[in-house]
Amino acid sequence: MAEHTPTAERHEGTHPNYWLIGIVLSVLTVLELAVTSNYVTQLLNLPNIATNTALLAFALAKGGFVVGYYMHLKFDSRVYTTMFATGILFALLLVSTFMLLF
Amino acid sequence: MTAQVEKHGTTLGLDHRKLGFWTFLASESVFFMTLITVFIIYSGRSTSGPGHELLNIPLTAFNTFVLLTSSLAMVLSVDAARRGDQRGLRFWLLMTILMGAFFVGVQVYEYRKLMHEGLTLTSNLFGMTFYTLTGFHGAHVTVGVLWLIATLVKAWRGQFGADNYIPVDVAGLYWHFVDLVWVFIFPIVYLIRW
Repeated sequence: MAEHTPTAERHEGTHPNYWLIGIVLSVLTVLELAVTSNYVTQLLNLPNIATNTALLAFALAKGGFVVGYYMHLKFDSRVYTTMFATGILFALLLVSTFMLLF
Repeated sequence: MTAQVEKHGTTLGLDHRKLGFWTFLASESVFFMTLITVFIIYSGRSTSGPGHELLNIPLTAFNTFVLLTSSLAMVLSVDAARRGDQRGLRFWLLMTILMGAFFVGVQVYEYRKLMHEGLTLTSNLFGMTFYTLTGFHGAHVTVGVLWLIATLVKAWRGQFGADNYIPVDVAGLYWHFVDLVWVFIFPIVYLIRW
């Protein structure tokens, strides 16, 4: 099988401001701690479900930044994204099965 | 990149080391998501023994910050390798290693303290799922630190440059993945009251 010339990498050489991403990740971590602190939960009278949803949303946002910018998926070939997303999809299927069984 | 892909060409026109590694990371996602799910399912089902109240959240939050910062150091070392900046590559790799080792050290300290207070792998369901999940993650961080030490030794010998940075990039992918997993473990295990 003939090998292709390397054309599939996108935006070679471009990269985001990694320091800014680092600051955003730190801020999101501080927010995670803030929404679980006694002061904030009492002040806003947050129910558990709201706190937990906020925590999962912050985690998803942080994960998105790590995968997209630090792991460069946003700039690399879509093939890598497809490969990784397939794994996540399988994992979600497995998790759903677990949840249904238990 | 061009020269590297030509040396390691694939039918997709992508570097096969990166493609293979993304495939490996996909399987690792399934592995960790299964462990996280088991932790969630068994949360709150322990009928006796110590549990979540023993966890030192401020210490782990600081450790989380260290791991996130190590990811920043890692991406800066990959960037330095891509630019052929040998000094930057070695400096940021060393920073990543130090922060990774610190993370593992704090986890060992946490385990010793928890075991002293009565939370062991066999004490109850919480202990079993907590140590299994965080232990496998810690093992991954340890492997990552060893991998980065090997990468640093190679960097010191001048084996990486602008035309050969993919091995550093792949090591970086592993390190970021370990960070990514912790991004979910920290709130799910330490912050959320199930």
